[in-house]
Amino acid sequence: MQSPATTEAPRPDLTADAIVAVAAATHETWRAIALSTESVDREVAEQTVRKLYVDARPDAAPPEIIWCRSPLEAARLVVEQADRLGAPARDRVRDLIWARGRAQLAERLGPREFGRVWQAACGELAPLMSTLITRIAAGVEEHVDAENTAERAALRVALTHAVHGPFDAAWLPLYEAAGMAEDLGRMARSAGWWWPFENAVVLTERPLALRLDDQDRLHHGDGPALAYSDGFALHSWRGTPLTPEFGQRLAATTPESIRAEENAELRRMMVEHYTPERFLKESGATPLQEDEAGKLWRVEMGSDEAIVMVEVVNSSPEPDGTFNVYFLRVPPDTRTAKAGVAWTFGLTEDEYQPLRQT
Amino acid sequence: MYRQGDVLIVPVTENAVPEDVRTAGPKHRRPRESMVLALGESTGHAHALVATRDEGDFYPAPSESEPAFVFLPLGGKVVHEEHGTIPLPEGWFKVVRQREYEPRALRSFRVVAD
Repeated sequence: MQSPATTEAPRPDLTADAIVAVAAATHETWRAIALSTESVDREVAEQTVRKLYVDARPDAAPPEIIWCRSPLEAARLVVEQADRLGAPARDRVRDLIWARGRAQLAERLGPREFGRVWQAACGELAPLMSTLITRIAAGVEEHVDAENTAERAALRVALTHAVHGPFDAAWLPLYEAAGMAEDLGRMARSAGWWWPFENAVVLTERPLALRLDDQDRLHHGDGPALAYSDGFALHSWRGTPLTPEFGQRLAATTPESIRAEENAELRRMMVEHYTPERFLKESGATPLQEDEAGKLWRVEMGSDEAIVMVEVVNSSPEPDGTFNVYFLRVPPDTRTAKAGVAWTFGLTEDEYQPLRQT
Repeated sequence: MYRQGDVLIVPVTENAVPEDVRTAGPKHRRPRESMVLALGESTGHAHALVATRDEGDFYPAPSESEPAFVFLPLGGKVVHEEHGTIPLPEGWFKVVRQREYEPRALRSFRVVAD
């Protein structure tokens, strides 16, 4: 095993700009590490965590290694088996390396430069990572009845002792670019969250599924957006947490179940998941109007606002010579297809006068 | 105005370019690198603008819901793998992405990508 010299001090030849450049170049890699759903590398994780323990407490016995399938399973074990695990040891095993690296870098670069480097290296992934951590922690707590405050509090305390492993991906590029905290980087690459205690370390698997929408929000309509192998899962629609019950109902949406849903917010998610276009086709929509821009359709939704869509024909033919038809949802007060298409470009019907369309 | 799929290109006067867009300045690009107006979500195909003799500037949109701007002193053309090429005269243009209505409770609209 290599000496831990590189974790002791930042490489002096690296300038602030070089650190930023390296961190930027590895950003995509770290994003992929954070969102990975591949199975973990138990051997590397166990070897690395043993080394972290030896570095932190050279005279102590090696820790027992316990694997769990999810943060929920791990947090429960932490609550239930406190005697077996011993006192929390995150400060010595992980936080000290983290804080020392940060302090050395801050000292070497000066406060202003350090702030710039920190922001440039960590700014982009940080909001996503902290959202995921918060959502998982909330999901763990929610597995206990809201009335059982003592058990919820115990789980919350257990969660505060966790190292978020791959979800530290916002900050690890900076450490790695500066040649520091390499073992923490290796842990992030090879396991999920982990809990260091005096006698034992609890390691977890990665999720089986982790799905985001185009705006990096947890999002999936056909099952959980985040799922672990023990069944711990989070349902989410464009970042909005859903109960498992509604998550399952959303996956099985039909035109009938859309109409039967009384909650407008949930009904809108169901329409969006089913796609307004399909819902329109299957629920007897009324054609309102037709002009050179396309055809306007409307479906009444009872107390909720009506679904109004323009059906337009693509101007460019497909390779087989046919023209694609597509539907765009427009505001419910739209009166003509042309006004609808104009709205999709932020214009009024009179303003929308394309000279050429392809 | 010119439309290529989900992108509308509207001729504007230079005065119509918002102050913050002009202050932010054009996007740096390498010589002969085309200006990408919009990337397709599913196909990966892009609406790209090619400036005549490579003379032109692209001012990116400050946010997803705002338009981008383009200055073509010698004109140019918009190209896309699936849509016909459209020649453009010289001048300033506003580039508007097509949006779709979403009920207010979720978001007021989202950008369409073909």
